[in-house]
Formats: sequence, structure tokens, C-alpha cells
Amino acid sequence: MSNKETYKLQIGPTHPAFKEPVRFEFEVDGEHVLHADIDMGYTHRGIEHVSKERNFIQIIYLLERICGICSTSHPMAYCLAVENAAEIEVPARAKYIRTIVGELERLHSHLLWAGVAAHEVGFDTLFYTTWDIREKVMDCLEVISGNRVNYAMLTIGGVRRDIIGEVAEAVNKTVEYYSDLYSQLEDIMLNDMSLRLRTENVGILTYDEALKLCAVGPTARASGLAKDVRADYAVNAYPDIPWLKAITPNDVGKKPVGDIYDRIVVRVLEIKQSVDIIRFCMENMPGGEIVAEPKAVKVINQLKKVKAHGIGRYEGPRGEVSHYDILDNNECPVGVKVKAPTYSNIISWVPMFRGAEIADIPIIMSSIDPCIACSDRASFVEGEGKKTVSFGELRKLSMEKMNKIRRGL
Amino acid sequence: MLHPEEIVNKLKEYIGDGLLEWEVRTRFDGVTNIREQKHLYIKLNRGAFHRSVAFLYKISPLHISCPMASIESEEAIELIYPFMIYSGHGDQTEQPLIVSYDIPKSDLRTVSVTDIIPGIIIMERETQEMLGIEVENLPDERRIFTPDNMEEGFLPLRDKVSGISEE
Repeated sequence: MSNKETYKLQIGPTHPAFKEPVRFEFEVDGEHVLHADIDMGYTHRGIEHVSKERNFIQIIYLLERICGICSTSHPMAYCLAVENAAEIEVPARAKYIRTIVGELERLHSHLLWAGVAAHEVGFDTLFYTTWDIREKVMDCLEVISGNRVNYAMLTIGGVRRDIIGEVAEAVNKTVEYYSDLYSQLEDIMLNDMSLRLRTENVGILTYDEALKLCAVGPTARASGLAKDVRADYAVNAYPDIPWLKAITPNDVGKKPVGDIYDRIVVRVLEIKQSVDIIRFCMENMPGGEIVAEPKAVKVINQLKKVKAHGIGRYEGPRGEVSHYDILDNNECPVGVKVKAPTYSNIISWVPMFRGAEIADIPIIMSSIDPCIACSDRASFVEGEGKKTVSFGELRKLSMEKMNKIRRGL
Repeated sequence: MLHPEEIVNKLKEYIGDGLLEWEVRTRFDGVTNIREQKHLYIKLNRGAFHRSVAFLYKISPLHISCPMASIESEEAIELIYPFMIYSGHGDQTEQPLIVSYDIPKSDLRTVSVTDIIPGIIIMERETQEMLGIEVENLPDERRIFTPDNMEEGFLPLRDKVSGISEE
């Protein structure tokens, strides 16, 4: 292999593995990848810079748009950072609601990833199945918040909406739906021979590499690194859950290899873990207020008096989301630093690709569940055959659909 | 596993005057099971940074949680590294260890710690690109977020964004 001349294979920034722009340059020898180089920045939007010009409440909704899939994770880390800096105590009930919404997000994200991964290895039946069953949790999030993505549930000092009555009923039904489905899903994802043949011993990230490269989330845990912010640095209701721990392949009696199959194992087990966490929270949710101070102006005035730093960390579906905010007696923070999980995991791609075959490039790319940018749910454009929908019409359609879902759940 | 004060004492013993200030802040979370979390903030002399990271990494491998934040004053830029120590144990033992130091604007240089923490490379590239701080010994000096043909001197995360021509 080493005597042959190598050549460069360019993939991206737009390519079929996923819908977000990132460019790869592979040095390949025949079918084997010798080295991978990654080029990012195609969708950099300067959100950290823009944040310095908005007030503390406006920033929540700006940061929510960093990622459509993790649209609770970034506001969560931001609110935790500001609350940490300003020493704001979040009401007990709000901590449980935050946990429930976060775990529903993890459920839909892991199911979405399972579909993408299945598609990358040509297992489209599984792709359709996982995306079909994912609709239930999306509907549940719509019932809770009115939106499938960008739920706008978080605010500084608590949450904006309660989970009571028919909303609570919808959450409980969703929990039961996934509990009933889980064993079937686990059987397909972990035991299907075609999936195992494509993922075992492929895209390996060893324990030492995961540690040195500061990998996070299921990518790190699949390599045996028991790193999970929910267990390491517990926030919200997580400290109350006695059985909560970082899941690794050891939990199915398997020594971690750090291959793609192990990443599947971790995410599948986390689907069950999320369902159990939501059930725990629904059964043990305390009563009381859902926000420390409901008036945004008062919150901003309170924060204007603070000169401190705050760190907010949250285990998003893809791994650690971390925000570092600097408050300096102003209605805007003077510094907002954001880290999404993919930022940490990108460098882990390099050892994963080394020695891989070209045909495995798409599934290795997808195995870290990358999120390079976010995409809109729908776009409405003028022109032949297309219709422009006004905000009012869109809101009406949205409410009609939500009521239909409520009746059906 | 060392308590934050013990970490500080050991570091002080190792770098002496290189440790300028330190503080332990505590946060609590949970509802029925209140958990205490210690945050250790350390301010160093710029020259002591690399040695300190190497020393701390020997106590327990450091995890870099977030890209480096910065505070700009007339004379200097304070660079803040949100590290985590005792990470990956999964048993509430992880401790935030926030290390910072000042870099004078007259000499905007620091040194890479990728030889100790290879996973920090993209964050150091971002620091160089966004703040204009030259990171010595950085294995890869290419831009990561801004285009390669970006105007020289364009520094998006400085207080006064510089380098954009009138055109």
C-alpha cells in the first residue's frame, strides 16, 4: 500500500452524507483513507458577536437558533450560565420541566440519528421506521410548546410553560409509547446482522484518543470514557435521580471498542434512559412556581447589577454543550462564548477515518451525529406553484394542527 | 482526588509567583438531593501558563469544556480557559477549573498547549483568528471559521471589530 502514489479525494462542502456544509479532504491509497483534513466555517453566523448587542432575554431565542435539533440545549446552557453568574435560584418545578423537555429532545435526536445512520448504510427500512416513530415525540413537544423545534421553553430563572392537564397526559402517553416500542427497537438496532457488519470495528476512536481529543457525548462514551454532564456536573432534576449514570458499552456486557457499533449501543440505551428519566420526573415533579421572576424587564434590571462570570454546562443529545458568559453591569453580556458538541468531536474524526475504506466515509461522518449548522423547518417562497404564507396564517395552521394532535394523543 | 484548595497549594508550590490569584466558588443544584459543585478560578502569569497546564494535567487529564472567552481592557486581553478536571469518572467528581491570564496588547502572544491537550487545537485556532492573539507552536495555523481570503487584520471577536475596509 505504501509504495503506491496516493491521491486526494475532496468531499463537500455540499455532499450526500448530511445536509450541512463541511469540507473533507482525504488522502487515499486505493480504497483506504490515510489521512483526513476537515475544513469548516461555511455557515458561521457570528452569533457570539451578535449576542453582545442583545439583552439577556433576547439572547435566549437567538441561541435557540444555533441548532434546530438541540434547540433546548443551547438556551439551557446559556440560562444556567447566567443563573450561575447572578446566583438566581430556579424553582424546583421548573428544574423538573427543564429535565423533561431536555430528555424529549434527546429522544427525538437519537431517533433522528438512528434513521440517518441506517440510511448511510443502505438500511432504508430502518430509516423510515425510526423517523416514523420519532413523530410521536415531535408531536409531544408540539403539545408542550406549540413548536416541533425551537420550543422557547426556557427563560432565565425557570421555564415559560407548565406541564399540567392534557399536556401532562400527552407526555405520559409518549413515555408509554416508547416503553412499549423499546425492546423491538433495541433488537433491530443492536442485533441486525447487516448493521453489525457495516459498523463493527469501523471508525474506531480509542479510549486514549477520546480522552486526549476531549471528545464528548455518545462519541466519548462509546470509547469507554464515562463522561456525561448529567452525571458529572448535574443540574436541574438530574441530582435527584439515584440511578442516573453515564452509559457505556459495558452496560450491555461489552468491552468498549470505540467503533460505530458502540456508538449505536450507547444511543440506543440512552433512548431507554431518557424514557425512564421522563417517567421519573413526571412521577416526582414537585408543585409550585415555574419561574423565579416572570417579568422580563425585572430580570434584565436584576442582571444589569451583576458583574460576574458564569459557566453553564448541559448534556445535549450529541454531548456537552457549554457556555461561558461574562456579565459586567450592562443589559447585554460583554462576552458570550458557545461550544456545541460537534465542535469538540470534529477533531475525533481524524483517527476514526485513518485506515477506513472510502465506502465507510459517510457512516463514519454520521457516527458522531454531527451538527454543522441548522436548517429551517419550512420555507415559503413566492413564484409559480408556491404560496407565501403570512405569519397570521402560519400561526392559525399551526394551532389547528396542534389541536388535532391533542385530540389524537 | 484533590480538593480545590489542595490543587491550588500544589500548583503554588510548583510555579510560585506564577499563580497570581485564586478563588473557589460553590454552586448547588438538585431538589430532593442537593449536590454541591466547587468551581476553582485561577489567575496566572502568562509565562506560567504552559507549565501550569502540564502540571495540572498530571494530577488528572484536563478536559477543555468551552473555547477560550476573553475580556478586553485598554492595555490587555484576559484569556479564559474553562477546563474541567477529574472529568469522565461519571460520579459527580468533575470540577470546573477556570484558568486565566492577561496578554498585553503590545505583545499579543501566547503559547499552544496542544502538546498536552491535543483536543484544544480548534479552540486555539479560533483564538488566533478571532482575537488576533498569536498562538506559538500551534501545529495548524490555518483559519477555521473565517474565509482564507478574509482581509488581513479582521478580528471579529475584539471589542472594536477591526480590519474591515470602508468598501
